[in-house]
Amino acid sequence: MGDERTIKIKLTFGGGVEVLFSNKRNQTIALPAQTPASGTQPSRPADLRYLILWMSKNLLTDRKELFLDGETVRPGILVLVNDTDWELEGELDYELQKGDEVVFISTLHGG
Amino acid sequence: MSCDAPPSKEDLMPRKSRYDRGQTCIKCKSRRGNLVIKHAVYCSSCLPAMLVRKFRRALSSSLDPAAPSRGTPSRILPPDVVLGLSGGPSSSVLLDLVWKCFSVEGSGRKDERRQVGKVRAVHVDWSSLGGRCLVEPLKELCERYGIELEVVKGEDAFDPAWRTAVGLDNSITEIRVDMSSGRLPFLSSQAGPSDPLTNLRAHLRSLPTPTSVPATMHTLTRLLLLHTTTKVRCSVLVIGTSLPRLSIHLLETVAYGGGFALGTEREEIVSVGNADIKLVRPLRDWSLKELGWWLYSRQLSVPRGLDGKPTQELAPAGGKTIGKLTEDFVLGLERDYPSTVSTISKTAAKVVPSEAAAYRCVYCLRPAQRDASRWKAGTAILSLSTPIASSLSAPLPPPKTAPLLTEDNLAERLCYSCHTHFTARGGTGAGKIRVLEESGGFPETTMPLPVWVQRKLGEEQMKERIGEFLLEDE
Repeated sequence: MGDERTIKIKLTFGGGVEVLFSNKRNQTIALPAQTPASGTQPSRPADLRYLILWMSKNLLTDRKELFLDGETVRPGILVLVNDTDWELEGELDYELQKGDEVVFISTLHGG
Repeated sequence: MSCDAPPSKEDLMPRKSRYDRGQTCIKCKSRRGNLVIKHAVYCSSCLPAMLVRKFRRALSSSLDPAAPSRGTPSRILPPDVVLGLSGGPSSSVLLDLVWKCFSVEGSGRKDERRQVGKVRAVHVDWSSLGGRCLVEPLKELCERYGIELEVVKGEDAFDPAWRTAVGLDNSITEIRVDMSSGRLPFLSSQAGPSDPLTNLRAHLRSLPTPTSVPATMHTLTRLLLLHTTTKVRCSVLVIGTSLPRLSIHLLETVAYGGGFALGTEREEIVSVGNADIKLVRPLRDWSLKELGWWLYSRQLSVPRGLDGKPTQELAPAGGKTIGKLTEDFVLGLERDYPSTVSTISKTAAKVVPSEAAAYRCVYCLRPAQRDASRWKAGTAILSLSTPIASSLSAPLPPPKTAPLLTEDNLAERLCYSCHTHFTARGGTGAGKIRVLEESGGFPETTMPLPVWVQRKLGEEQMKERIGEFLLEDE
């Protein structure tokens, strides 16, 4: 029986970005289903904004600047949600569902 | 609405969509789209064919501009090509596309119209300056595609043995220039170590600004690839420059004063030794999303990790180079205004120099305008010969530019851009480059030059060189 307080998300890394995540191309994580309330911000269902924050705290060990740009990912990293460009899904505001697959592909790191 | 309360959905302006015509694929007009490319939406079924067509068209227009876009195939013999691989994402995409389009196994068709003959790959290995060596993973990758990989080391640019191997004149001795003068006079003394790696480090270390280091490494890589292409008797060098990378290079070229040769960034024919090599970039119209989609959909691995760029080891301790600032700018554009990145490239393609090239730069082999260094000498004071403190009592002499000497010097044979890299004094916020700090016995003002740079021969030297073939006066 699954824990209702978390949702399982499959993460896939490619294009060289996997080196920042212990060189593992695929990982399955249990993400809190609700974001923690902070200050004036009430708790809300986990979205991609929260996933990126969670990844930066729990999966990224160092060189965060190669993956993060503020609350989003660095330009040049393609994000797909269930094989679809996150721009078609609402980008950071996309509310994650149980079993979603989120792909991060790095596309530019050299000349 | 209170200032403290979080905004509700009604309080916020509706966010403008990044795509124009709904979520349906603009090709098949039936399936839901999977990828937004420059405001247009494509589904995963239509994307592969569209991308293959785009690659073939770009390659075809470069290799055989006279060939019709469809219908009767061209009658010219497909040329053998060399793929220049850096080990980054676009290298993996280039290798895969060439295999998919031009091999029987990849295309699944025996009658495939071939645009290329034999395919080889070349990689320039900069690991001797630090950073990860990508030779083994690249070899494995190429083996999977049945393509032979040749490896050239960065320091080969300073190796006399490599000069002989690629068929350059091996009677020429090592050349060095004096960096303390803006005219870069050749030094006659041959003192000092001649180990290729020491020479490479000394070359990079004597560059005046950290910005010049990655730009020079880029030029060295290009020349190493071109010379290796002649060595393996191919006439076409194909590299995987994507649209944002091309736009970055174009803006960098403008920033370094290389506007005269701007068109060559997109496509060029370079005379190397006795051969003309065509350098083509069939991914020049591919956005990062298209690259990323191909990598993902074909499950391709990228030998070089996100942190493995060779120039990263040579990044200055503080501040950013012009190249890095340009990269950040173009990547921001790619995310927020993707069509603008394409506009940069297409605008540059229309720029035509106002006059014919006077000569080719001996360093980068690109066309140069007449009197590139003379113009600089007449408009800029590159050095102040009299210390200001000692001249306080005496009236300050009028500023002088360096006299236009007729001595053999490197400056008058360089293009404006290379001359700028060797003599620039500007740049702030960029600190020392740690891995180049060891001098290796070289004085800082002495710069060894790559083996393809040759001195102009004087009359006496010329006679000496061809003496045995001359008829004696009666």
